[in-house]
Amino acid sequence: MELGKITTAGLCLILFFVMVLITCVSVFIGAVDIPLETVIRIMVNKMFGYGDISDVPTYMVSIVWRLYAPRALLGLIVGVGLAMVGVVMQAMVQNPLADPYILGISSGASLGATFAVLMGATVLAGTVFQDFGIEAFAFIGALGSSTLVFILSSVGGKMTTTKLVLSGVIISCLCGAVSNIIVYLEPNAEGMRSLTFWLMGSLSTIDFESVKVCGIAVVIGLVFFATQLRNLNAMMLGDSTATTLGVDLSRLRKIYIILTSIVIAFIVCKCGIIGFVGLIIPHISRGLVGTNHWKLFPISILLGAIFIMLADIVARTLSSSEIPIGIITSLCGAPVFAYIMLKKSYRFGGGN
Amino acid sequence: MDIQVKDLNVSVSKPKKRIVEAASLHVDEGEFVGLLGPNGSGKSTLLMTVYRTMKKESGEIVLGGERLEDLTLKESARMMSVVTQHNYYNFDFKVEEVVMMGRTPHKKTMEMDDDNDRLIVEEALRKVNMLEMKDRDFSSLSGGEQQRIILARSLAQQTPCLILDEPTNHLDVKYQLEVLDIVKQLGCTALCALHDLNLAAQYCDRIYILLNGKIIREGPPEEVITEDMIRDVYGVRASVDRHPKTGMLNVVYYPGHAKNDDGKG
Repeated sequence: MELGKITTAGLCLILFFVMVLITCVSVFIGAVDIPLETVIRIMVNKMFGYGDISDVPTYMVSIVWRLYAPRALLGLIVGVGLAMVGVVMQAMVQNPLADPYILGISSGASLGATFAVLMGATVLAGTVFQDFGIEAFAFIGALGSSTLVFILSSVGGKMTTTKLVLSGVIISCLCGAVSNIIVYLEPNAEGMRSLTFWLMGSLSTIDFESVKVCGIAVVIGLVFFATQLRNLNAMMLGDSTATTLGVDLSRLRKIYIILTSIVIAFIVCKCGIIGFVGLIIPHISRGLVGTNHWKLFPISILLGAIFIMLADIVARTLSSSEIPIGIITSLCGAPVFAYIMLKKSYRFGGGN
Repeated sequence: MDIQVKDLNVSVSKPKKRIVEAASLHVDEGEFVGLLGPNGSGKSTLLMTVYRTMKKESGEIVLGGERLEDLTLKESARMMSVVTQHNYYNFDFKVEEVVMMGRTPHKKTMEMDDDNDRLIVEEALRKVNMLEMKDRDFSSLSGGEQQRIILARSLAQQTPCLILDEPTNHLDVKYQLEVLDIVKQLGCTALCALHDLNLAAQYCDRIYILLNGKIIREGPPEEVITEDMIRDVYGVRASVDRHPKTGMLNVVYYPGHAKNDDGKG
């Protein structure tokens, strides 16, 4: 499918403006009781130091600047991160079904984080690990589960889609079960709250500190993977062809797994598990611009940001209490998953 | 640029088995060398070890005077390109994009494709007569067309050496000849596994016969492709003559129901 006369650069530009627009909408929608004009004044003042907001009540400034602005920004960052990881993982395993959620990477990160939050203080006291942050444990969890999935799905020869997805399900179930055990062993309000949070994801517990931490991880990933577009393309042709084109797969794969695990770890720590984004977004982007990563990568990260912010707006406004965003993304993701499975033009690496 | 393989041993672990045993061969600059042998004789394994997707157990592979292990993958990808029979992708690229991948070893990771690359890709597509297909989806092409695109990709790689693993498999006769004609016209150093003895006789300067992982014969087609060899290696009765019109070696196999030993009955 080609988009008529619109070039990829043009499409990027359009999506970029849509993204900026949605970011603004996201801030405005949160602050329903505050006049639009005031919101704009607060934002302009805080971002560019321009204008005077001394006549605006402090609570309004707090709501806009401490609640909804970071939330919109976090949505943007998480969307970029998840879409990016989806694109990279799909190229890495040459499979359109790869996604941090389906392959159990998110569950691994979630397990690490749950462990650190609920049991970390007691179990690790006195060991070298006691000063590690939640992120470090999430990273260990993510790296461990991705490594396990890759090993499990390559046992006995070539990695196939069936083995890959099943390995993901296995690791995902295992991590989920262990997380639940931890939660039930430490029954407290914090535990139950974390359970919902880790399993269904949310952008609600945020401040600028979270945004910064997540942002740094995603930007590091972004900068690195932006230099890898040619290699990602070659990877899509399969291990053997990529090797004959001079791409050192075994080395790159290790680097990619570590970096995607870092990005997922930070996202899961701050927002819990938000599923299917890494699956849907690259898929839609491929429909728009094809498989070539020079086009696919920028389009995917922009669409990812837009998608998460939209999903968050829906999560916030659909009912009086907030719905976890992971539920919204799963509602969108499951049908796309089914569609990809049924679609004939993807071949899933089943044939040799 | 020449290719030399010395005393190559290749084994697989499960089940533990030596696939290539003490194989030595050389392809001189500009030579078209054929690798023949029945199914499972180790042709593909030998080639895969040369193009670095399989690890050797021992022995040496030398490319243009440099040992393979001293070269990075990128360096060796600028010296040899590979055409195999298996080309099956999970994602769909445009034909032009597939051929453009041939430029990968020549580019820095962040370097964009430039006009020179596009020119090379166009030229490669023209050589295989597929220029008008450049905007098509790779998966929408027939097997023979895909094979020609893969050949175009390796042309775009602009390497002095070319490794081909049964490049004519599943192709119609016309394209079998076309693919080999293109390679022959390039005049580059080519090592090519082939199934078809007649094609091998027509195109190869020299031939190696592989049986159970060992190289058992070596020489120009007329010395190697003989009735005795076909009987010993392939277990098939055949007659080998010069074709009266082309003057080339011509192999005719006797089917099981042929009347008698010399087939003239």
